[in-house]
Amino acid sequence: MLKRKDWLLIVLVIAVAAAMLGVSRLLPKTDLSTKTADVTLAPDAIEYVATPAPEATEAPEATQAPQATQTPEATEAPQATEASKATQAPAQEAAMVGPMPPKQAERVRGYVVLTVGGRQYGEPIPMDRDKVITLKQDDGKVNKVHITPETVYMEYSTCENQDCVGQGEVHVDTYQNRILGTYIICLPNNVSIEMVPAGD
Amino acid sequence: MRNKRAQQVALSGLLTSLMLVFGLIERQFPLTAAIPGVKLGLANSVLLYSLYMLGIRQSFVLMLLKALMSWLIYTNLNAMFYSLGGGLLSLAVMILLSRVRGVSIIGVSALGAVFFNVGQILVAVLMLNTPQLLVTYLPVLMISGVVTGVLTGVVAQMVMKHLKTINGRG
Repeated sequence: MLKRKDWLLIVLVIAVAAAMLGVSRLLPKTDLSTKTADVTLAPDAIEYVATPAPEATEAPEATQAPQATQTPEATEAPQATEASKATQAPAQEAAMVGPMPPKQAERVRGYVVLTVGGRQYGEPIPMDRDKVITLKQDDGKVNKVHITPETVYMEYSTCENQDCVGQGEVHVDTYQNRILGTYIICLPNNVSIEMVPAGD
Repeated sequence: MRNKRAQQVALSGLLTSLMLVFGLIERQFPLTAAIPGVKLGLANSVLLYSLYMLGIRQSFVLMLLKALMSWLIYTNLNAMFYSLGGGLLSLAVMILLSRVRGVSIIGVSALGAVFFNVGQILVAVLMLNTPQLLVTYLPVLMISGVVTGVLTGVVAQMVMKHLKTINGRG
């Protein structure tokens, strides 16, 4: 059974692990200004998820309906905010007819940095509204990242273990309690998602 | 013992397939979905057995074969790099520790499991370009590695005890 040197080694490893956990608490927050795109994100990679009901003043619950029941309908809006505002305007007029593009959050609470194979895809993406980013790689690997004003999660992945989907969401309020912190990582597809909370 | 070489080849094949089957079974029962990379690592007890009973060279070949096969089975080249990174570092540490007096097979197994995780994280840091993983994620895997390593070490110890008895009689 366990000998004295075994115990010594085990205690040593746990001590090192505890020290590293301590260091990780002291790490400075990721500086967004150092995060610049290595690869430009294709404009059609972003898909806005439409809210099911128009911005109804009489029924505010409608906007908080569970995701599963919604039919995510794509509004092909380019990334530039100027352009997306332009496409939004006619949609708002027709609000009574079809689903609306999601309302923009009053305050952006965080940004999302997407890395594929060690290269950053696009500039940090503001968590301003409900949207899905599709990351396609040349060899057929696909990951879909769902961003809402408060959370980020891996919605879909072609990888075999689906660990990234199982890692759940990173919430801007509760990420400190997550084991992976601000990260969601898909090792088989070499994709990492980092949520960077915006300063107050 | 008429044909030692053929016997060795057969045993290697048996052990390799045993490692792969253990790996496949573990995949079906993830210990936790929230912490990727945490697994029992029963394949390591096979490698431990080979290290103690068959020698360094054979163990090295087994480790390489496992990495290569994981590429073929999961059709994912990245899976091979992670397996290789973890396997090389882990085997090196286990070889060194198995020669230190006063360290039992359980201690060797625990440290081997920990360094398997260290190797994997190092590969992940290189491939994903995220050095923060070293301090945020590695400690979690180190602690889980100690626990699972002790468990697989106990398994290897028990298996070896019984196999020695069988071999002694035969």
